[in-house]
Amino acid sequence: MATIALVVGLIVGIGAGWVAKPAEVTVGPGATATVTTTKTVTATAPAAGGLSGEVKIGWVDGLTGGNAFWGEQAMTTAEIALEEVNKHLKDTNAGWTMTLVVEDSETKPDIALEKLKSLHARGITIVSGWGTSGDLRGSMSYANANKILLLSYGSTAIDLAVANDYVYRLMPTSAQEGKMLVSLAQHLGVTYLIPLWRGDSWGDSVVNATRTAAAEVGISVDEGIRYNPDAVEFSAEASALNSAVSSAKAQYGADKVGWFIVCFEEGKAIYEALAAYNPTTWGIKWLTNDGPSLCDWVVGSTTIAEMVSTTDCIFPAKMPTPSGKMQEVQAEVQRRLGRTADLYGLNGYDCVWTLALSLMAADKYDPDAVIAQLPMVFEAYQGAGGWSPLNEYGDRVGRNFGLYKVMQIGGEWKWVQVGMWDFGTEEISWLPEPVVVY
Amino acid sequence: MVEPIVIDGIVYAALLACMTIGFTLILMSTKIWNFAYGSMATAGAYISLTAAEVWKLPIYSQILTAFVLSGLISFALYRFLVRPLSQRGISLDGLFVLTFAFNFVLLGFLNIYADYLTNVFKLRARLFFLRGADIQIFGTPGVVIISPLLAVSIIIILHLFLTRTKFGTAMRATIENPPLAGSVGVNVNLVYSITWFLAGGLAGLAGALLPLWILCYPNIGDVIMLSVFAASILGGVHSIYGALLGGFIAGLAEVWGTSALAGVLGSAVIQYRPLIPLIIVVVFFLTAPEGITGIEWRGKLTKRIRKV
Amino acid sequence: MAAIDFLLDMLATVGVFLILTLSLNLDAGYCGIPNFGKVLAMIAGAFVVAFFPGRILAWMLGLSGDFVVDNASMIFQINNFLASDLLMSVALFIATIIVAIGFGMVVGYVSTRPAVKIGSGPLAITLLAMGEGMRVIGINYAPLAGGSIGISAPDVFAWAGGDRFVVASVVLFAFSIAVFFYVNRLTNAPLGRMLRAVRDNEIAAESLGINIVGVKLKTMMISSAIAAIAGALYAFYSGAVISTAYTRASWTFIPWAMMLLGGSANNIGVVSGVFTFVLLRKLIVMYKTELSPYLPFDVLWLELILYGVMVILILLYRPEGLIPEKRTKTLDLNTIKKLQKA
Repeated sequence: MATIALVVGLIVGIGAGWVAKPAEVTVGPGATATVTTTKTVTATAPAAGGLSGEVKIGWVDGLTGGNAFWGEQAMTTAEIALEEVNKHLKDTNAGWTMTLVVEDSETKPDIALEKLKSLHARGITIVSGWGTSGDLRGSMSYANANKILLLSYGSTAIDLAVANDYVYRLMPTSAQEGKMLVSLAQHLGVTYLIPLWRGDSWGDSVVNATRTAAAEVGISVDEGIRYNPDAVEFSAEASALNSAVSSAKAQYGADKVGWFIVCFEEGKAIYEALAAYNPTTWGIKWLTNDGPSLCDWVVGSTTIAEMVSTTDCIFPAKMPTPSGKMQEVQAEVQRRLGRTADLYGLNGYDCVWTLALSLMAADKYDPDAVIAQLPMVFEAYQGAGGWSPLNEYGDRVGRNFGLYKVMQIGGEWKWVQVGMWDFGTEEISWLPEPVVVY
Repeated sequence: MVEPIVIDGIVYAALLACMTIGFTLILMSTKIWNFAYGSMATAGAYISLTAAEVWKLPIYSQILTAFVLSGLISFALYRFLVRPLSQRGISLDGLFVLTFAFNFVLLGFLNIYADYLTNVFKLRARLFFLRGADIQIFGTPGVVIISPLLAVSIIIILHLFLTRTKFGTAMRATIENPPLAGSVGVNVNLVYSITWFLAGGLAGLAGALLPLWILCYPNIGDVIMLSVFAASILGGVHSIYGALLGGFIAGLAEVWGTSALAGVLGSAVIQYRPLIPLIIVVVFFLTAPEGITGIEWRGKLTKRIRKV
Repeated sequence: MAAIDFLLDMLATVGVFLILTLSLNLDAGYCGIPNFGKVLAMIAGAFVVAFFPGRILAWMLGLSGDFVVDNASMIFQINNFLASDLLMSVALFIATIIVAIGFGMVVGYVSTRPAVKIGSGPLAITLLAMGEGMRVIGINYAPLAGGSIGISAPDVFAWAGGDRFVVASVVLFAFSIAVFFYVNRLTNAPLGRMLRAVRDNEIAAESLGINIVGVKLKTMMISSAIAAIAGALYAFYSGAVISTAYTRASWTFIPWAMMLLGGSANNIGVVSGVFTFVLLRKLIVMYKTELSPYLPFDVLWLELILYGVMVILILLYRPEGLIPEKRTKTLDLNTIKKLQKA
C-alpha cells in the first residue's frame, strides 16, 4: 500500500511540476533557462524492507567507437538523475543508495556481452544503457536466459520488439517514425522520396520502416544513399545525392520530389559537403528524421542554418515534451558538457529515474519484481523526455512528433516549432504561429 | 566552377599522403607495420582542437606543436619499447602486436584528454569539426591549398635532407644495410630514433589538418590506418616518393573512385567505400608487391625514384 | 550464485579463445604463417550460423516472411519449436558445425592460395585486409547476416530452458578441449616437425623434399576450419551474429597476445596463456571500479590503458611466453618407441 502511495506521490509530483512550469521554454546554448525549482518529489514514508545499502545498477553503452558521442550525453544525464535519486533517497531516509556501474562496450556487440556477463558475475541484474540495437541484440539472449533486465535508452530496431522478454526500451520503434515521415511527405505532395542515411542499425531501421509505410500509400522511395557509420568525409555521398536529385527531378518534376536525411551529429559534415552543390536551388522538398532535429549544430553553423531555412526543411523530433524538468536537465547538461542533449540523451535521465522508481515500488533487488512495476511507472512518468507508456513489447507506445524549422529571428538562427504529428491519429496539425524553441 | 568532389578528393588525398610518407619511413627503416601510427595523427588533431578552442590561436600556428608532440610519442615507442624488444630478438609478428597494444594505451590517453576538454572547457571533443576556424585563401578554405603544398614540401625537404646532408646519407645507408652502415661508423640507433621521430611528427602534421576537413574523434586515426596501409603498399613500401604517389592515388581512388563507381553501379556501392583500400592491399600484394613504383615501367625516371 | 556466473563466463570465454588461439598456434606458432586475419575464418563460421540453420528451419516449419526483416519473430517461433525437440536441436547443431568446418577450409584455401609465396609482412597485411573486408561486407550486405542490425541465430540450446547458458558454456568448453587434443596430436606427429622445419628455414625444408606451398596450404585449411568452429560456436552461444562485432582487435590481436603470452608453438603454453589472459582481463574489468576514487579521470580509460600495458609487459618480460617451446618433446625416444610398437 505504502509503495503504491509512494509511486503515485512521485508521479503526481513530477506531473505537477510539469504543469506548474512557465509556458515559455528556453533551452539551448547560452539560454538563461528559467528553471523550475519545484521539488518534484513529494514522497511518503519510506517502505520498510528489502533494499538497503548500496544498490548497483549496471550501465553498458558504447562510450568509445561509433556511439561515443551519444554515449557521453546519455551517461551525463544518467549521472544527473542518479544524483537526484540519491538526494531523494537521503531526504526520505530510504536506507539505500543507488550507484551506477558503468562499462564501455566500445560499440561492439561482443564486448557488450562480455561486459554484461561481468556485471552479472558481480550480481548486477538490472542493466541500463544500450544505446545501439547492435549491442542490445548481442546481449539479449544472455539477458533473457539469466533473467537480467535490460533497459535501453536508444535502441529502435523494429524486430527487437518481443513480448514478455527482459528487454525494455525507452524509444518507440522506428515503425512509427516511418509512418510520420510518410505522412509528412504526403502532406507536402511528394511522390518520390530520396533517403540519405547512416548505415547502422538505427538508420537502417528508420529507412526500412519508411519504405514499408511509403509502399502502403504509393510513394516511391529511391534506392538512396547509405553511408558507412564510421565515415568522416562525405564528398562521394554529396555528389551521389546531387545526381539522384537531378534525375528524380527530370522524371517527376521538382515539386513531387523530396529528400530526407537520417543522421546524427555527423550531419554537420554532410550538410557542409552538400553546400558545395548549391542545394538551395534544387527546388525540392527537404525533410529529416529526428536525428538532427533541435540540435545546436544546425543553428550554430551559418552555412547549415541558411541552407535549411531557405529550403524550408522540416525537422521532426520525437517530442521531448518541453517541460520544466526537461529544461532543468538540459541546463545541467549544458553546464557539464557545454551543449544540450537530444532525446536519446534525455532518455539516459529517464532510464535511471524509472528504474529508481520501480525499485522503490518493488522494494527488492529483483528484475522480475522491477519489471512488474515498470509498466505502472511508465504509465504516469513524465521525466525529462515526456510522457509515453510502454506497449505489450516493452517499448514505448509512441511519441508525438514536433515539427520544427530553422528561422532567422532578430539576426540569430532559432529553432521554431511549426506543427505536430499526433501518433494516435497519425495526422499533422500546424501551429498558427511559429513558436520559438531556442 | 570546379566540381566539389575534385576538391574533396585532393584534400583527403593530400592528408593521406602526408601520413603515408611517415608510415613508410618507419616501414623502410625498421620493417614495422606500426598500428599505433594512426593514433599519433589523432593526437595532432587534438592539438588543433586545443589551439582553436582553448588557446584561441590560429590553427596553422600550432602545427609545429603537433609535429613535436606526435614525434615524441613515436620516438618514445621506439626508444623504450621497440628497441629493447628488438635487442632481445622478438619476432616481427611480436612487434606488430606490440604496436597494436601501444595503440590501446594511446587511445586511453586520447579519451582521457577528450574528457578533459569536455569537462573543463565544455568543448565538443568527440565528432568535432574545425572548418569554421580555417583561414580563407582567395575565397577557398586554406586547407585546400595548404594540404597539397604541405605534402609536396615534405617530400622536397626530405629529399634535400636525405641527399644533401651527411646525416641524410647516413640514414639512407642505414635503411639500405644496417650492419654495414654500423660498421662504417653510422650510429644506427640514432638514425632509427630520428626516423621514428620524423615519422611520428609527419603523422602529427597531417593530423593537425584533419579536423579542418573531416570529422574527428578519438578513433579517427585508427579508421584511416587501413587507407594508409593501402597507400603505402601502392607506393611500394620502400620509397618515400612512392609513398607520396601512393597516398595521392589511394586517396583519390577512395573519393573519386567511390563517386565514379556510384555513377556507374548506383549509389548502393557508396557504403562499400571502406573496401577500396582493402582491395588495393590485396590486389597489389598479390600482383605487384613492389607497388606502382616497382612495376617495370620503361624509362629512367622511375628507376631513379626507386633508389631511395 | 555470482561465483557460478563468473565461472561459467570464464568457461565460455576461455573456450572460444582457446579454440581460436590453438588454431593460430597451428598456423602462426608452428608453421610461421603470420596470420593477422584470424578473424576471417571466425566470421566465416559465424556467417554459416547466420545464414543456414535459421532459413532451413523456417522452411521446414513453413514460416512466412523475410528471414532478415522479420528475423526476431521468426527466430522466436523457431526457438519455441527447438525447445521441445532435443534431437532436432542436436542434429541442427552438428550439421551446422560441419558446414562451418567445410566453409572454413574453403576460406583458408582461397585466402592463402594466391598469397602463399609473398613475404611475411605482406602476407600478414593481406590476411588482415581480407578479414576486415569480410566484416565490411557483412555490415553492408544485409541478406548475409542482417547487415548492421545483425541477425538472431536459432537457439540450439533452447531445450535447456533457464540453464541454456550453462549448457552452451559447457559445450563450448568441451569443444575447446577436443580441439586441444586434436591440435596436440597433430603437432606432435611428424607433421608438427615438418611445420617447424618450414617455419625455421624454408630453403632447408625444401631441400629435404618438403612441398612448402602444400604444407602451408594444408595448415591454413586446418587452422581456418578450427577458427570457423570457434565462430560458429560463439554465434550459437551468444544467440546472435552481428557483423560489427568481428573486429581485428577482438578476434585477431587478442589471440595473438594470448599465444605470445603462453608461448608460441607450445599447446600447453597456449592453454596457460589463454587462461591467464582471460582471467587478468576479467579481473581488470571487474575491479577497475574500485580504483576510481583514486583516479583523476574516468576509470573506463584505465581499462583500455591497462589492457595495452598488460600486453606490453608480457612482451617485455615474457618474450618467450610462460612456457617456452620445447624442441625435444617430439623427439623423445620413449615416445618414438611407443609409436613404433603401436
